[in-house]
Amino acid sequence: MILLWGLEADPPLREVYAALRRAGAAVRLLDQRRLLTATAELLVGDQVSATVTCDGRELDLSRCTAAYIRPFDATQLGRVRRAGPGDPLWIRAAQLDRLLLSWTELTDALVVNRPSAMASNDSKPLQAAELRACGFAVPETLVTTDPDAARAFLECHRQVIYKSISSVRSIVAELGGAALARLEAVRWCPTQFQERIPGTDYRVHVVGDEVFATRVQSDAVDYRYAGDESAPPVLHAAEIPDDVADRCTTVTSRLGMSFTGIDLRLTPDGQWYCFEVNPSPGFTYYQQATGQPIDAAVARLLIGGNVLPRRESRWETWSAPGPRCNAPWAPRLRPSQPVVSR
Amino acid sequence: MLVVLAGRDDLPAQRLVAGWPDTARVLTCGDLCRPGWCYRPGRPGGTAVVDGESVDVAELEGVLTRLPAAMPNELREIDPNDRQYVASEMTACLVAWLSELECPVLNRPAPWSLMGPPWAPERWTLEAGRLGIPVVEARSVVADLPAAAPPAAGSPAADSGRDLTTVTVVGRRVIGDTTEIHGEAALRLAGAAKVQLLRVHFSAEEGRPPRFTAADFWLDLDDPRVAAALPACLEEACSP
Repeated sequence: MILLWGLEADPPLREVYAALRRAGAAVRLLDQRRLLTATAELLVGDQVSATVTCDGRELDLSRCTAAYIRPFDATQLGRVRRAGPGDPLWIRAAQLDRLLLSWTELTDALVVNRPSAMASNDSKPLQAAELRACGFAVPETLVTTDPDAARAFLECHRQVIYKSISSVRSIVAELGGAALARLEAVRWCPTQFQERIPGTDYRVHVVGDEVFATRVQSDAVDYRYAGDESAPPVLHAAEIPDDVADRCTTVTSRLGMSFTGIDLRLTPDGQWYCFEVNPSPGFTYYQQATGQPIDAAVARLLIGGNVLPRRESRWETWSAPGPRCNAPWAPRLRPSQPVVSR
Repeated sequence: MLVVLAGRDDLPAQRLVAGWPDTARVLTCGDLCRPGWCYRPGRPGGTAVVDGESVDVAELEGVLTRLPAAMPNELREIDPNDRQYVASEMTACLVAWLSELECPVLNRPAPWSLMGPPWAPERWTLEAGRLGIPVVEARSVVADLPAAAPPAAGSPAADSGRDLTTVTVVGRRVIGDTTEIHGEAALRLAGAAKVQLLRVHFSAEEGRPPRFTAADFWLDLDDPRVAAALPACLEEACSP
């Protein structure tokens, strides 16, 4: 049986669920909104057993051969958030999140992806070290609390962007104008600056050993948020060189994952830069634009289950994801971001 | 310079450093709110701020981590509305910076914990069980409303009626009033977690062999045996 866990209305979860049903797979979707009344038990000795009972149906998680997980922070769901911390509903939601996250770390089933493997995305410079090790070019980077060092970096590279160091979602922005005027504020918090790399963006989805590349045409510094100042991005299915595709599958495997969305940029002189590996990609945005059957590939991956020995992530560690938040002086963020990302 | 990364109010860490050579210092989140950090990922060198002073990273001889993450409540200099964001950024910076340091870092950080792998209690139990160490089963329950869930096995509440024996691993040394069985099990668990510093708790029930109940990284730095073992452990970590 294949388990899906998240919000039923979440497009990637919905599309994978439909693809699994089309393929005739036995699938159970645990919708976090319905789980607010569920009970659960996790028992761990030298083996792991777990059950979830929801709507009167008990689910033995040891029967799961694979799981696709896109959990949002259940304490932020409307009814639970309104109840507030300390309310039994809030406590139960947090407990259930924790129990299921714990199970995803302990089970021998294929989990797409384990939270511990996704954790590499919580520190961009740490993930960049893995990207370099896989042969990708990565932009020159400075993390600093020194305004003078940031100015010197800008002088050296001429065009510089800044973005969050952590997985807190930020809009990549160019250092100049108003941002330069408030550069003194970096003395209060380490801030990440990178040389701006010219070229064309590519989003590559790796699903097991399958690779789907999308070329993104956009004038925006951060195409995800184009529209305010630039035309909307135009997406096309694309081919990428075999060696670049190999690097994408290698870094995915090295990070202990089996489904990723990798952000690349091809420079005018033919170099492939890698910016980031997204561990829970919102692939439907790209699938709708290109017609690439990514949902079917994820379904095939899940149906195949864990045919290989369990791959540990580089860090093989986990804890519940922390809350996300905003900061006035940082790159402007969108409110109410889910735990998962595009 | 030896550095202890610790909370601002971590008095045992301050006492530890006071007993070490003059060059030892405590690094706190407050030091990340000061100008002077220059970190170029993928490149050696750079500068850090330790105990309020800018230092060349090449001067660092070893780092002991006593902080799982930058904590918002420690960021007194930062507007309360921004503390959570700043803490996330500091943690992300520290995990990468500590991972790249060429000097020994005990324990090596992981993305969600600067002190070592932030395994949940259930993960520690499973690892111990799979190593053949007898364990107290860890049970987590989400019960019907409005009944409160019973405390999970291995939690302080569940263990309150049971005597515990605590073993501290510092490199290859085992510290505590322990038997050979406890020590050997603790060393094996530390090896599985790939850490040099670990505290392991066993149940001590009459007529039964000791059973694993929990593990953590919160070494008792006020224990003179632990304090004395740490410099040698850092030195060993330098050796190939």
